[in-house]
Amino acid sequence: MLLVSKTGSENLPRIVTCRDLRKEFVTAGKTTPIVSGVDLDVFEGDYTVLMGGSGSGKSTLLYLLSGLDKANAGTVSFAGEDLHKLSERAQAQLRREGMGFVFQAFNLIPTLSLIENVRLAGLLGNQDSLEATSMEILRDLDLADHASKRPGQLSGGQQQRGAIARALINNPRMLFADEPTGALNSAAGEAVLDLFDRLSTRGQSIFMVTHELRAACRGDRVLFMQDGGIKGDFRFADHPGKTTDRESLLFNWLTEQGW
Amino acid sequence: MLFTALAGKGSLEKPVHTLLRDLNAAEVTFTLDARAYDVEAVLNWWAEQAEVAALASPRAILAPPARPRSGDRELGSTILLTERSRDDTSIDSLRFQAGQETAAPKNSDIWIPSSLAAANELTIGDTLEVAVDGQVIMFTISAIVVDPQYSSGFLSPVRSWVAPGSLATFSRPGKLNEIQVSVALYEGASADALWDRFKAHLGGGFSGTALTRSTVLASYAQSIGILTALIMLFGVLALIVAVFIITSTVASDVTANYRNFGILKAIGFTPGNMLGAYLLQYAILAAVTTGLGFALGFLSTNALTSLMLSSIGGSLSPTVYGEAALPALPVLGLLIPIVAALVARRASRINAATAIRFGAPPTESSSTPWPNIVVAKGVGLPAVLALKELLTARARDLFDGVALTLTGAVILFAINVYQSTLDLGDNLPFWGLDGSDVRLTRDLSPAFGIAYERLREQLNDHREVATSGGILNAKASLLTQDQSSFDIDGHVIDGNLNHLGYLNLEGRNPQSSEEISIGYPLADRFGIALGETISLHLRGQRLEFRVVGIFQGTSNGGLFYRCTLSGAQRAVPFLEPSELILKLHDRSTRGDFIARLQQELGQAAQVETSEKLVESQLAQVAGGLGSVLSAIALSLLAIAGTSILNSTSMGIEESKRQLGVYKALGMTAGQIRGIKLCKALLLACLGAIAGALLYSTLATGLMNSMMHGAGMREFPLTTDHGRSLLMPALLAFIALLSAWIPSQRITRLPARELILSD
Ligand SMILES: Nc1ncnc2c1ncn2[C@@H]1O[C@H](COP(=O)(O)OP(=O)(O)OP(=O)(O)O)[C@@H](O)[C@H]1O
Ligand SMILES: [Mg+2]
Repeated sequence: MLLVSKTGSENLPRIVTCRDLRKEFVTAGKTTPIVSGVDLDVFEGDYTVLMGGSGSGKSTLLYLLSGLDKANAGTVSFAGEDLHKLSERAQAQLRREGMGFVFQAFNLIPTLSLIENVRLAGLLGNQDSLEATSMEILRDLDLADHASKRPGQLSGGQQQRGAIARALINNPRMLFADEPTGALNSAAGEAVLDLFDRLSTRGQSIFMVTHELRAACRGDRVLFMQDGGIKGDFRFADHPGKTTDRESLLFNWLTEQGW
Repeated sequence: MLFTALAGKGSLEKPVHTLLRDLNAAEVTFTLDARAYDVEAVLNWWAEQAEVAALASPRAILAPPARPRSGDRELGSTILLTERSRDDTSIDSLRFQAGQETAAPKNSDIWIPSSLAAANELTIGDTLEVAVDGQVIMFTISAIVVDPQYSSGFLSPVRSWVAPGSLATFSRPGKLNEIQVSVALYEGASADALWDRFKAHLGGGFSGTALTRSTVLASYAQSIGILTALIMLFGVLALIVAVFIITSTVASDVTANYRNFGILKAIGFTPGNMLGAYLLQYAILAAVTTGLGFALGFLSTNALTSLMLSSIGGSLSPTVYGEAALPALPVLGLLIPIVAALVARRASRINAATAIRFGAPPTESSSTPWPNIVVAKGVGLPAVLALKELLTARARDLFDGVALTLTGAVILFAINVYQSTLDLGDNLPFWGLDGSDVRLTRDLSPAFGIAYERLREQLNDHREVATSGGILNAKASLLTQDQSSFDIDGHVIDGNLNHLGYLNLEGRNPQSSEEISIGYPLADRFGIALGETISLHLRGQRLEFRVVGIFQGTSNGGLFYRCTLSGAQRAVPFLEPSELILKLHDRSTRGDFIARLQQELGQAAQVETSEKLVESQLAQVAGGLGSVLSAIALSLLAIAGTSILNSTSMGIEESKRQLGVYKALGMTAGQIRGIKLCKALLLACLGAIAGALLYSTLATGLMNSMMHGAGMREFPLTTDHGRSLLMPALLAFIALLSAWIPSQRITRLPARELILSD
C-alpha cells in the first residue's frame, strides 16, 4: 500500500487562499473584531485541522473561507475564484459543485429521508444517475440499511455519517467540517474520524474545525487560532516520529502555543 | 368581528327606535277614501281614544301610478305626493339632510326622503316630473329629509312632501279623495290593539292602507337581521381562527424555548410557575388585543351602521355600542389566556434532562416516500421540497389550510350571493313574484285609460304574447281563531297562475274562486295547513277561502296571499287589476316589444320589464349584502394572510438551521424562498378546493336559513363559475404575499447565523 506522505506544502496546489481577512461583529453598538487579518493558504489534498480556544473565531473563519459568511475586509479565493467578486448565484453554484459541509449536529433535513437528503445535494449538483450513486455512497459509509429512514429515526453517529455522505455526493474539492464529532459519543466520533482518514487517504481535501486533541491528531496539518489570528501552523510531516506519538507531539506543540 | 356582530344588531336597531321617537313618528298612519268613509267621524273616533296623544290634521295625498322621472331617468319607485301643512310639526317631524329647513315646501317644490335621493342619485335643485292625470307636473327638489317611516327604502310608494293645497291645483276636482291621517300614541300604548278596535268600530274591516310602527321597524329589520346574522356567523369563525393562531403560536413558542424551559426547571421552577408565566403573558396580550378589538369593533360597527343607516342619517353612539358589545369582552378576555395555558401545559411537563441536552423532541411523522425527490429534476426543487414539507404538515399548516378554506368558501359565498341577487330577472318566481317578462301599469284615469278587459284582449292579439294576466295589489285582514284580525298583503290575480309562472313550496296555485295560496311565514304564524279554510276581510267583505298552496316570497315578509280575480270579485264585483303581466314566447326580443307596445298604448299604460318593479329594492338588498359579505371576506382574507404570515415567519425562525443547511448545500436564497412560496401556493390551492367543496355543500342551506325570516326558504343561489375563479386567484395572491414578506429575511441572513443559531 502506498503511504501518501505529505511533506512540504510547496508541493501541493493551493485550493483556498485568504489575505488580510477581517470580520467583526457589532453588538450593542460595540464593534468586536473576531477574525483580525488572517493570511492563509489551504492546500489541495491536505487534511487541515483548525484548533483554538472557545470563541477564538474558528467557526467564523470556516464560514468566511467557504463563502457562507461575508468578510468585512480582505480577500478569499476558492479554487482560483475570488469569492467576494462572485454573485450570490455563482457562489451557490460553487458550493454545490466544489464544497461539502458537515456541521456539529442535527443538520439533516428532518422532512426528508436519509437517501433523500443525499439526493437533494446531488440534484443541486446536477448529478446524473443519482439513484445509483446515492445508494452506492450510503453503502460505502455503511448506511445502506437506513437509506429510507428519517433523521429522527437514526442515531447521532448515523446522522453524522449521513451528513458526510450528503457532503460527498458531488465529489467536492473541499470538505468543510465544523466540529463534526462535537455532539457525538466517543465511539461514534471515532467512526466519523476513521471515515475522514479514509477520505483523506483517497485524496479528499478536508478542512476541519475541532477543539479535541484526538481528532486533531488525525490531520496532516494543524492550525492554531487565538484572538482572531492564526498563531501557529504545525505539519506532522515536518516532525517525523512514531504515529503513536502524534498525540503527545501535538499536545506539546499546542502547549507551546499557549493552548 | 364578534364585537361588530354583537354590537351590530343592537346598534342598528337602536338608532331606528331612537329616530322614530325623536322625530315623533306616527304610530299609525293610514289613508282614508273620503268617498267611502265619513272623515269627520273617523277623526273624531280617533281623537276620543284614550291612547291617542295627538292627531295630525289630515293630509291630502295623491299616488300617481307611474314612476316619476328626473331628466331622462326614471326613478326606481313610485312616490306618494303628500301635502305638508305648516302646523304639521308635532307628528312626523323631519330631519333635514340637505336643503333649507322651512315649515312646509313652497309651491312646485318637493321634499324627498333620503333613501329615494340616495337610490336615484338625486340632489337639491333636480327636477322631478310626475305624471298626474295625463299632465306632467314639474317639481324642484328643495330638501332631502329623513322621513322616519319612509327612509328605510323598503316601503313603496315613497312619501314625498309638497306644498299645502297644491295637489288640488293640478288634479281634477273629484280625483283628490284620499287623505292621510297620522296618529301619535302615548308611550306604551299598543298600536295593533287600537287598530283592531278601529276595525271593529268600522264593522270588521278597513279598506285603505295602514302603516303601523311595527311595519316600519320590520322594514328596517329585514335587512339588518340578515346582515347581523351573517356577521355573527363569521365573527364566530374569526374566533375559531384566532384560537388556531394562538394555539399554534404558543405551541411553537414552547418548542422554540424548549431548552430554556428545561433550564428553568433545573434551576427550580415548578410547572405551576411556568404555566403562570404563560398565563400572565397571554393575559396581558389578551387585555391589549381585546381592548383593540373593542375599539376596532366600534369603528367597524360605526362604518357598518352609517352604511346601513345612511338613509336615516343615523350614527352610532358609543354607549349603544358599549351596551351591545360588552358581553363579548369577558369571553375574549378569558378565552385567549385559557387557550394559551392549555397549550402551554406541555412546557410544564418538560423533562428537564432531555430538554437541556436535546431540545424539543423532533416531531415524529411517518416517512413520505412519495414523491421521490428525484422528480425534482423535472418540476423544480422548491416545489418538491414544499410538497414534502406539506406532507409532513404540522398543526400550523393545517390551521393555515383551514383559514384559507373558510376564506375561500366565504369569498365564493359573497360573489355568488351577490350575483344571484342581481340575477333576479331570471329568478322572480323564487322571490315570490310571477314569472312574466313584461309588466304594464294602467293609467286609471278615464281620459287615457283603456278598460282592463279590452286592454288584455288587445295584448293577446300580439303574436309575441304567450300568456297574459292581471294583478291587483290588495290589502286584506286575516280573521284569526280568536276572531281578531291580522293585516296582510296580497295579490289578486287574473289568469292562469301556473302559466304565469307562480311557484309554490307545497300544494298548487289557486284556480277556482274559493282557493287561495299563502306565504309560509303566514302559514307558520297562524298554524294554517294545506286544505284548511281561512276567512279574509277584503274591501269590507268577509270571504272564505280554502288554502291550496304555500309559497315563499319577500313581499311583506311573506305575510302574503294570492287569490284569483273571481275569488276577490265575490267581495267587489267590479274589481279590476291595475297591472297586466305578459309572458312572451321569446324573451330575448323583449326590448323591442316593450318599445313598440309603449308606442301603441301611449298614455294608457306604462310598459316595462317585470323585474323593474323590484330592481331598485333588491339592488339595495344585494348592495348591502354584497358590501357586508365582501367586508367579511376581506377580513377573513386578512386573517388567513396573517395566519400564513405568522406561520411562515415562525417556520423560518424554527428551522433556521435547516435553511442554513440548504444554503450550504448550494441552494440560492431565491430557491429557499421558493420553498416557502410554493408551500403557500400549494396551501392556497388546497384551500381553494376545500373552500369550493365547503361552499357547495353548505352555501344553499346557509342562505336558506338566513333568508328564512325574510320569507325565503329556498334561495335561488346560482354559482357563477366565471366570477368564482376570482376566489382561487385571491387566495393565491394573499398566500403568496403573506409568505413573501417574512421570507425576505431568508435572503438577508448569512448562512452562518442560520446554521449556528441556537
Ligand atoms: N453573529 C454574531 N454576532 C456577534 N458576535 C458573534 C456572532 N457570531 C459569533 N460571534 C462571536 O464571535 C466569537 C467567535 O465565534 P466563533 O463561533 O467563531 O468561535 P469558535 O472559535 O468557533 O468557538 P467554539 O469553539 O465555542 O465553537 C465569539 O465570541 C462569538 O460570541
Ligand atoms: Mg465554533
